[in-house]
Order: sequence, then C-alpha cells, then structure tokens
Amino acid sequence: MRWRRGSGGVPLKTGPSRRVSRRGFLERTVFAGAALGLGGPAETLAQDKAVDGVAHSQPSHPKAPASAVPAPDLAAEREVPPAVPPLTINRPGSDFMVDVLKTLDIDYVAANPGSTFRGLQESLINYGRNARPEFLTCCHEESSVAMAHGYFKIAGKPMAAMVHGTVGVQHASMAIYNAYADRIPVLIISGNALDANTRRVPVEWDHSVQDNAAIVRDYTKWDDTPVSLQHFAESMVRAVRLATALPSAPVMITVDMDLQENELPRAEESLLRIPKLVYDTPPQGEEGALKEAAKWLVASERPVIIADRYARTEQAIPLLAELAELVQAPVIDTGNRVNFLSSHPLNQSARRAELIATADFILALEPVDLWGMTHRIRDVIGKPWTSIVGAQTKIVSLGTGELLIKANYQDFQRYSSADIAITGDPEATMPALIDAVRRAASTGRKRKFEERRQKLERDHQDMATRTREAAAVGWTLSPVHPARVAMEVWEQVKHKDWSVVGSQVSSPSAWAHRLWPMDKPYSHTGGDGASGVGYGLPSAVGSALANRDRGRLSINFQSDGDFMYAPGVLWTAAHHRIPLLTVMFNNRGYHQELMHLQVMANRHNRDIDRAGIGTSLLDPNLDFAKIARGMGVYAEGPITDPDDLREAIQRALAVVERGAPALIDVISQPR
Amino acid sequence: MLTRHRHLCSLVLILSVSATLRAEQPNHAETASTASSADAGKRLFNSIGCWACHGFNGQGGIGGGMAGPQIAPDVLPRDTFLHILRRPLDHMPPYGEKVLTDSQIDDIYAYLRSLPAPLPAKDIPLLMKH
Repeated sequence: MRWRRGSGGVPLKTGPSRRVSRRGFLERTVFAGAALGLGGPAETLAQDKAVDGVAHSQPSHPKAPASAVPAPDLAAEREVPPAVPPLTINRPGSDFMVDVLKTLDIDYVAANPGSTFRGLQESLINYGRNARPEFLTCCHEESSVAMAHGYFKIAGKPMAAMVHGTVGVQHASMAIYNAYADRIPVLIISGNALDANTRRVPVEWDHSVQDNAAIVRDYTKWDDTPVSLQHFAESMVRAVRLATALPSAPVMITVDMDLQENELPRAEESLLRIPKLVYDTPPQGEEGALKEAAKWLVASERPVIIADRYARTEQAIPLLAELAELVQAPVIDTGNRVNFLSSHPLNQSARRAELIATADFILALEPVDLWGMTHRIRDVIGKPWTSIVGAQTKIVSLGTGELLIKANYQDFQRYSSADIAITGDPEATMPALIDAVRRAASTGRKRKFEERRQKLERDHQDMATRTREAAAVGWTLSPVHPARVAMEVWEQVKHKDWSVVGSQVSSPSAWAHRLWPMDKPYSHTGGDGASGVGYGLPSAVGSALANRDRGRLSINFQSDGDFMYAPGVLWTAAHHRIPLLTVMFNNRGYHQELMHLQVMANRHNRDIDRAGIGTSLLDPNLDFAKIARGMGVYAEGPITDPDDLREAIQRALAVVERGAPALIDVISQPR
Repeated sequence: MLTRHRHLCSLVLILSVSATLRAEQPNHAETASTASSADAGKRLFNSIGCWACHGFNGQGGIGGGMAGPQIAPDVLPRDTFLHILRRPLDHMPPYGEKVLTDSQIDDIYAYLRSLPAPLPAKDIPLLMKH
C-alpha cells in the first residue's frame, strides 16, 4: 500500500488494494465531482491513475473527464451540499513521533515555533498532553539549543530542541557548535518539507532544503532524515544513544512535514516498533597502560594532576580525591567541569603555571588542549611559543578526545602527544587507576607523600589568603568590583542549596569560583565549549530549569555583551516560571574585544585612545532592569554603589524563592 | 584556556618583578604640582586604555580572557614602570614614545601613587567570614 498526497492535501490510497471503504468512496466522489464541475486537477488525477495506477496532484494537460465513481452517485451528490475532501484525520504520523519521544526520557522540548514542525508541535501539546516532553516557548533557536546545553549540565540527560527548517537551523548553529565543542549531547529535531510536490508557495520553499543538516554536520555527531515512521523510530533511538555515548555531542533528526501530517493507517501502525534505548557503557583505559602510568605517578617527586573535562557524574569528585590523596598530588581543576573540591588542600588550581612548569610528571584527565596546558604562546608579533614543561617531564593523557575529531572546525586544538596517551573515559577508568597506584605505592613512598601533603596544605592556605587580599583591593569601588558582588551574593545564599549557572569562564563568575566553595557536582556548570558569545544567559535558564526540578537555587553572573545576543530567553524564564537570580556584570562594553583593539592600536603605534569605537555599549547606556521588567522579570538597578547591593539581592532572592526569575543590574569595574 | 594560561604566566612574571622592585609608598604631603600631575594622569589612565585591563583604580582584574595585574596603590619604581610600558614583558601592549611621552607616563605614575590604600582583607567581615 502506498500513500500519496492529492490535491488539497488529501491522502489517497493507491496500489493493488481496491476495496472501497466509506472514506475511499467519499474521496473518489469528491474528486470526480470536482472534475465534472471544474475540469481541474482531479480530472487529470483520474486520468493519470488510469495510466500508471499512481495518483498525481498536478495536472499536465487537459483531458476528457474520467470518473471512477458510478453515475448514480454523482447524481446524488448534486442533491446535497457538495462534499469536501476529508478535512480531519484521526491519527497523524506526528502522534506516533510523540510515542517515540516518550520512550526516550526527554522531559522538555525547547523551541521557537516553526511551521515545518507544526504537526509534531500539535501532537506534543495535545496528543502528548504537553508532558514529558513539555514544550518550552523560546524566542530564538540559539536560545533553545543553549538551554538544552545548560540543562544537560545539571540534569545529566539530554533535552530536545526543535528548530525550524533552514532558517531555524541557521539560527541554532552557533549554539550547536558550542555544545559540540563542549561535548554535550543535545537532541535537535528540525522540520523540513522534502516533497517539492506538496510545498506551499512561497515561504515553504524558502524553508525547505535538500540536506537540512548540512550546515551543522561539521559539529554534530550524527544526523538523519527519516522517510518513514519506522525509520523515524529507529533513528531517534539511535540519535539519543549516539549523542550520549562518549564523547557526547549533539545529534540532529530532520522530520518531514508529510511524515508528520499524513494519517497513519491502522494497518501500518500495527507494524511499527520502537526499539529499546540502551545507553553505551563508557570506554575504560587499557590495563597495561594504566599500570605504567601508575608507576610513573608513584615515582614522581613533583606530580601534577590536571582535570579538564573529567567529571561526568557525582562519583567523579570522590574518585579523583581518592587518587590524589593516595600520592598526595596537587590537582589543577581547569573549571571546565566541577572536577575537584575547591576547599580540598590538594586543590592547587591557582598555582597552575608554577606547578606545571616544575612538574616531573603530569596526568591530564580528559584534556581539551594538552598543548595549551604545556606551552606558552605570546600575543606579540610573530606569536612566539615555548614549552613550559621540562624536557624530562613525563606526560600521560587519559581521555576520549581522539575518538571524535572532524577536519573542518579546529576545536581539537594544537597537536600534542603525551608519553602515554590512554584512550578511555577517565571517570570510568579511575577505579582501575586507583587500584594500580595502590599496588605500586611502597611504604617508603607513602612517607614522602605525607611530607608533600603538609607543604601543599600550607600552599592552599596561602592561596586563600592571597585571594581574600586581592578581593579586598576593590571592595569599596564604584563602579562595583566583581569580587564585592560575588561576596554580597554569597552572604545571602551560603546556607542554601545553590548552583552557579551560565558562563563560567569569563570575569562575571570568576570571583565566585575563587571565593566560594565549589564542592558539589552542580556548584557550577563549567565551560561553554567554543566561547561563542550568547551562551551565558540561555544556558543559565536551561540549567535553572533542571535545578528547579531539583529544588535548587540558580545564580547567574551575567555579562552585558552576552545578554544582548538573545535576551528573549528571560521571557521564557518568566513564562515557564523558571527561578533564576541573574546578577548583571555590566561593564558597558565587549570588554575583551576592547582590550584586543587596544593591543592592536598600541602595536600599530597610533591613536591609543580610540579602542572604545565598536567595542563599547555606551550612548545610550543599556538599562537591563528595564529590559527585564519588559519581559515580566522582577528587576532592580542600575546599581553603582556597592552598599546598595545587599538589600537588592535580598529582594531579588525573595522573588526567586517564590519561583520566578529576577535580575539585578550592577554597573561593574571592567574586569 | 590558552588565553587564561598566558594571562597567568604574565601575571606571575609581572608580580615577581613587582615584588622585587616595589617602590616606597607615596609621600602623602604631595605638592600642588604633583596633584595636578595626578589629575592629568587620571585623565590619561581613563582615556588610553590602562583602565581596561587594570581597572579604574589599578586594582587589577581576573578572567578567562585578558586582564592585567594589580598596579596600585603599591607602585613599581618609576624607572621600572616606564620600562614595562615601553617594553612590556608579555600581555601588556607596548606604549611607544609616539603615543605616550615620558611626561605623560609620569602623570599616570603620579595618579597611581595618589590612590588611597584599600581596606585590608582582615577589616572586611564579609571576606573573613568566608
């Protein structure tokens, strides 16, 4: 049995079966009637069917009427109001798509509405009762994907983002690249009208494409365009499995409009099967290589453990603590994940450069940029670079990075080879590595380890003292110093179950990272992947959504430039009652770019007072509180006096704890 | 990450120089001409980009991208200060004589020396309670 779309979008049953049902009878009646009355498409349709047995909806040339309906019935049709093609169907294919989605443990679908997935959206909200997944209204596809990115970082499971064909995919592309570079799984569903014969003019042509995933294929792990519902079921399950298998990454499924909107016949539905979703176990490092690495670690006098994208689950931190304590090795947490307790005396992250430069052994866990960790490149003419590690320093890398590298986008960083490169997930491998180290450590070495710990404890205390002194330097300044902002917020949230969300690698949250105890897997949400600006605010909303479902407070230190990319996500937070405290780091400019321009002007030895052109957000000043209020978000500011912060934070937190977003605009020092 | 690493290298290097060559604290009985020079220095500091990396009061900054170390109120000796502006060690952009005269550098130097000492951390309960 084959199904084709006839004139007016009516499904026509074709093929060998010719048993006339009530519906089939009516359809034929309608087309025959139309043919008699108008001599239009149905006339040709009937003729074409007579020729090849397949319905065509477009007339090629006029032909004599040819009716498949007996004359008496036609006469009867003239006695009553003319019948129309069936205007409704009972079971669209998109209902089955929702059945599939409901097997995949997807709680939310974030989307800006688009007609190429209108069938699926209707099925989600009505047939699926808008629950698991729930439809989240977004104002930009970049926000949808970045929300899903941030959501995974807290929930530990993928969220779906639905994007319009062509234009929606293009809007989403930067956020997809960030998620890819950050190795975060996102399930992207995009609509498309594959069949040129059924596209409406003109917009549906603009929003249709031969290969919908082409523009994001360089930074997705897998994609497919199913042409049947069974194909859809299998590809969706495969997509989630591949997205979550390490190294994780976004995947994209394109759903054809006809596949969504055409009726699913009962006979066909009984044949459909939804495969069981099984998650792949993480790969573990090879035993022999681990033994060798363990021997080097135990024998080392100045070891360093660098944890980059190491942590995946709540088991990661205690496992790394066990390894580090076995040999009393300092740990550098790059901040890309919550890898290690910031309050642990072996956490020596602030001494990174010094420790790497003097190390005789480095163990790098899921390193994104091993070359960058071990080299220094100067931003001066010629970009000279040097290695910062000793020639005899042994380096072991343990990670999955080499398992997912594509040629075009260069997020794989500069080539660097360790002395032993172990392929495997470091968290899954950690128990075996700990066991190998335990076996290799002799009693004599353990005494040495204890001496090392005592020194590292002192260093840890010194670092904390220096950090407090550095924070004090700008304590009373106006514009407000970000360290003051961090500590004023801390004072109000320190007894709550909090989570710092949004972008973690820039100035706004840097002081929270230095001054707050980042000791829980959700204390912060790590890096953004590719440093694509515009990630911070929507990812914060996505993480806050996951935190809301866990009864946790979300705090977002938000830069102004990032905010302005897609501020509409604040409306999404208000609309969906996503509690989130956003504290603006408003330095009124794209400040890093301002500094880059300054470097260029100095290098070119001219006009060093003009770096603000094109990099400042002045004249007029942005009023973020007003912008937020316009989207239904409680907001205060701009605040320029640090002494005004405490009460503003208290008021905003009261709103957040009632289940809504709130924003405080703070005029900040530049860095 | 690369830029953060570079920044840290730069910070360590500059702070090391700062520690070994630190100047005497400014004499608080400044002359009128010194005050005038400091005013001019403040204007320069805020117009030629010093503030961008080092903050409006020279307090320094941190961040994943680019930022400068703290340069006030503990100020390097004048000759060292001038040398670092003319021939910076790493991340600091070079300020050649064509864009900044020695006299203007003296004004900026006077401004940095005029800045009041910050509160010590031990006097800030919010920091010490942490």
